[in-house]
Amino acid sequence: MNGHPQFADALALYALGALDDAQELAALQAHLGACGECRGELEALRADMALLALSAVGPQPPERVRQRLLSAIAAKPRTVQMVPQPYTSSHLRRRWFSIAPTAAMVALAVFSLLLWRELSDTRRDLRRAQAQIEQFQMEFLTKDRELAEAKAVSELVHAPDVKRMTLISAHTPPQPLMKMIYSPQKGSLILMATNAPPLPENKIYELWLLPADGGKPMAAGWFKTDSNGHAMMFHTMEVAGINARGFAVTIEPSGGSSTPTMPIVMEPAS
Amino acid sequence: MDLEDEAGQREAAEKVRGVLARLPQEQRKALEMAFFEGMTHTEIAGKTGEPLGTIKTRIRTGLLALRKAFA
Repeated sequence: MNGHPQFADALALYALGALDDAQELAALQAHLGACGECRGELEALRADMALLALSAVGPQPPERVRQRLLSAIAAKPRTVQMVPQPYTSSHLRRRWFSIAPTAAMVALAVFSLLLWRELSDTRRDLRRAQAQIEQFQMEFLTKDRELAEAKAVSELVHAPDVKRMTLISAHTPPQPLMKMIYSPQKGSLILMATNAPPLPENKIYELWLLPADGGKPMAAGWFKTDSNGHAMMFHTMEVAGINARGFAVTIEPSGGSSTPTMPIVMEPAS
Repeated sequence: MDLEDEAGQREAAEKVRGVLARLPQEQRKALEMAFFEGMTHTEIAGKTGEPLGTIKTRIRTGLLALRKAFA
């Protein structure tokens, strides 16, 4: 120790804020006011104390220290007999040092919070990565299965003994069918309908001749079906000799129309 | 030692704990009571039943040991 040995021990206590002998405190403060060397030593001791504070933070503060920090905070305020003194900077420092345990505790809490946040971030990243891996696995399995299926299909289609057939429903509902005979030269036609859906009372089926020259559809007679959907019509056009590119059937109001009302319900099989 | 970065601080904290662990037990206890428990030297002496002067010396010696470790 440089400086004044008689003050050395008191100075260390003073730095820690643990010097509570009023007489000694007054003597030391008076000396500090006059002795630069001892003031320098005081600063050095405070730096040492800052090192001490460091031990309370870090990855694993010893449980013992943690417990003491907790009990220091919980403890009743110290009853220290202090001589009234002006509110000097050293007084302020003493007050600061007296909250050092609390400050260390706060540092510990902040550090814990940071660690906790880092941990939850890491966990979230991990969950995301796991979800991604699962997705890749699913995609891979799907692709794998699709590829295997495509290969099997290709092999079957090209098998030397392959047989092809078409199956239809054993319960296919009867399809509407209209057969026609038309002679342009005679200008007359016959239509036979089977399985035509029943129409409301005020509607009829009307046949249209589609002229081969691209003219407008010409009315070619109308008919109603019986309760079984059957009908037969014989019709003569107003003029003979019209070539037809086709015929179409629409549903019209009773009495027939002069132009077809869409949609076409029956047309020539292609 | 660089105390600015986190690794440096951790290293320093480890070192301080090392120094504390190697201190004679009564020195360490006196330091801990004064610093972490905020006791005055009179309170410490009252609790341990040892002379005031002894407590004072232990605290100072402990602090100086820390300083020496980081010198």
